Amino acid sequence: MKRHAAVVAVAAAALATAVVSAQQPRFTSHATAVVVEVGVFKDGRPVTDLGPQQFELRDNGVLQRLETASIERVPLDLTVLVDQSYSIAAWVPTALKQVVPEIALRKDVRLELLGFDAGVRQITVDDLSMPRAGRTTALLDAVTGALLRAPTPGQRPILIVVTDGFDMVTIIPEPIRAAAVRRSDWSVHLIVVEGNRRKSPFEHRDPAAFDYGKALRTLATESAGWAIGAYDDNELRKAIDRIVVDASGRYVLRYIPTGVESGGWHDLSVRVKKEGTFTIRARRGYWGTPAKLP
Amino acid sequence: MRFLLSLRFLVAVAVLASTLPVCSGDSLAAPAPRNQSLPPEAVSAYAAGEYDRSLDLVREWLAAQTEIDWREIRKHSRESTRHWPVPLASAFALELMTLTPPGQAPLVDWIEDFCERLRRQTVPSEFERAWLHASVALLERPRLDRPLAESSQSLAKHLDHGLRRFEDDPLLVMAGVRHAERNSYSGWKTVAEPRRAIRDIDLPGMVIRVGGNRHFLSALHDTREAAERAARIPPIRTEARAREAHTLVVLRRPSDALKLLAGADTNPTHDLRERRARYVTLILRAHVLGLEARFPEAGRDYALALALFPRAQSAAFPLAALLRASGRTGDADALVREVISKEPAADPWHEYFAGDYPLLARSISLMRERLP
Repeated sequence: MKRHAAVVAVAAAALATAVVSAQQPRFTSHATAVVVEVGVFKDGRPVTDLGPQQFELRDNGVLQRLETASIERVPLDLTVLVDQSYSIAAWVPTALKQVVPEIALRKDVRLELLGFDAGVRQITVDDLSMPRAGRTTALLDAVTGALLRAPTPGQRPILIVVTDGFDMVTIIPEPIRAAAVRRSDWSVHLIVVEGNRRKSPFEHRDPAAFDYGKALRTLATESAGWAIGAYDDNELRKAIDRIVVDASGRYVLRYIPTGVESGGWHDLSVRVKKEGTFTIRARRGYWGTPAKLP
Repeated sequence: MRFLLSLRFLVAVAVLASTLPVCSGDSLAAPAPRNQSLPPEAVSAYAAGEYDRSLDLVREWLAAQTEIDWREIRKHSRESTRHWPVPLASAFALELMTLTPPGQAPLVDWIEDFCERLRRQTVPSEFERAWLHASVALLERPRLDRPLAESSQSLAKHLDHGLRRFEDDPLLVMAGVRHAERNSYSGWKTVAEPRRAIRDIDLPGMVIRVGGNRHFLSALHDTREAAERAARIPPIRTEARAREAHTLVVLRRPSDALKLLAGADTNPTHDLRERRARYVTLILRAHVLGLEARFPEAGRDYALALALFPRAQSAAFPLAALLRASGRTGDADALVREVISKEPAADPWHEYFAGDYPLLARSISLMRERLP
C-alpha cells in the first residue's frame, strides 16, 4: 500500500512534464536494433518456411534491410482475462474451466488469470467454477488495465480476453487509452462468445456489424492479435489453442532502422514477397525515442 | 463514447432483461411453497430494537429454504406486524425487501403500500423522510428482471408521493434528476433485438448514431434542466453539477461540461455522499481533459480522485496509463497490480448508474435512528 500511495503522490508532478522517454522494450533489444514479431498464415495455417529475403518491412514507409528473420519459440507470459459479468458468466466458465487447467500445466507457459466486470481482480482456476454475475461491465477499461502490467522479461506476453463484448461503464478517454496501448508489449487476442448463437459483431461472423466492435478489434489488430467469435465450448477451445500455437512460434524480424528519424511513432508494415495470399499479424508500429504523448 | 457509458449501461441492462426469464414481482410467486412464515424470533427481535440480529435470523432462515416466495413472505410478515406502529412495520418491511434477490425487483407494491400508510399520518415525520430516502435507494438498485422503463416508472411514482410530503427535500430532488437521466434513454429501454440496438451504440471513440432520435435529445435537455435546478440546492450541488456535466458530454458539449466542473470543490471530505460526488466530478473532468489531450491536468485529477477513493480502478487505470505513456513502466505496473490484487474497491464511477443504492446501508441506519 505504501508503494501505491507513493506512486499516486508523485504521479501528478511527474505527469506535469508529460515528456515521454524511450519505451520500446521488445522492439529495440539492443542499442538501435528493432525487433518485430510476425505471424504469417495461409488458408488459416501458419507458414513456417520463410527467410529474411521473403519479408518486406517498411518503417515509416521506408524499406528496411532485415538482419534476421526466423521463427523463435519462447515461453509465453499468458494472461486470460475473463468476463464475469451477468450476461456471460453462466456459459463461459464451463468451457474455460476445462481449457485453462490444461494450459496451466504447460511448461512453456506462465499463466495468470484475471476476472472482470466493472473492476478487475486476480482469480484462480477454481474461481472459474463460481460465476460472479457482476451487474456492470467496464470491458475496455479492464483490457487497458491488464495491458498496463509489465510483462515477464524473456517471455512473449499474450493477453486473451474472453467476453461477450458488452461494455457499460468504460471511462478512460480514448487518447489516454491509445497512448498506453500503443506502448504496451502485450499482444491482445479477443474471443467473443455467445451461448445462443446470436450474431457476433466480430470478423467473419457478421461483417455488417463491424462498426460495433471496432475499438476492440483495433486493440487486437494493432497489437498483432486476433478477434475471434466462439459460439460453444468446442469453438472456444479451438480459439484458445489457435492463439497459443500461433503465439508460440512467431517470426522474429530484426533490423537497424535506416532513413527514418529515431523519435516519435513509427508506422510499421510487413509484407510477404511470395506468391499467394497471406494473412499477417504484426504490430502496426512502435514508439521511438524521444517522443511526446500524442 | 463518452457518454455512452450511460447508454451502454441502460441498453445492456435492457438486453440482459430480455435474455432472462421473466421475473416480475408476480412471477416471484410462481410455485407457492407451504410455509413462508418468518421465524417468530426474527420478528420479535426487530420489535425489540435488535435490528441486525433480526435481519441475520431472516437471512439464515432464507438460506435454509428450498423455495422462496416473497409474496407469501409479505403476507405472513404483514400478519405478524399487524399490531405494530406503522413506522416500525414500515421499517421492518423495507429491511426485508433489501433481502430480495440481487438483480431482481424488490416488491414495489409492498413499498407503495407502506408509503401510503405513512402518508395517512397527517404530519410528515422525520422518520417518514428517512424511510423515503431508504426506499428510493432500494428502488434504484440495478435490476435485471424488468425493462428499465417499468423500473423508472415505479421510482417516479414514489418520488411524486415523496415530494408532495417533503417539498424540495434535497435527496428526493436529486433522485428526481437521476430519474430524468434514466428516462432520457427511454428510446433504448425496450430492446426487441439486442444486437441490432447495441450495434448502433459503438464503443468508446466511435461515432454514436443517436443524433436523429428527437425524444432522446429532448429528454437529455430536460435532464440537464432538472440538474441545473437541483444545483441550486447546496447539499446536492456537487452531484447535480456532475450529472449535468455528464449530460453535456452526452450532448457532445465537452467544453461546456468542463466549464461547469472547472471550479468544483475536490477536496477530501468525511461526508460519504459528497465524497462520492466529488470523485465522479474528478473522473468526468479528467475524462474531458483527456479527450482534449490535456494529459497533465487529467493526471492531476485522477490522482485527486484516488485520494478520495484509494484503489478505485476508474481513476487508477487511466493514471497508470499516463504513467506508462510517460515512460514510468514500473510505477504503472505497481499501481495496476496493487488495485487488482484484491477484490475491487468501492468505485463511485462504477456505481454512477446505481443512484443512491450504494448508500442504502447508510440510509437504513439513519431510518433506524429516527424510528419513534
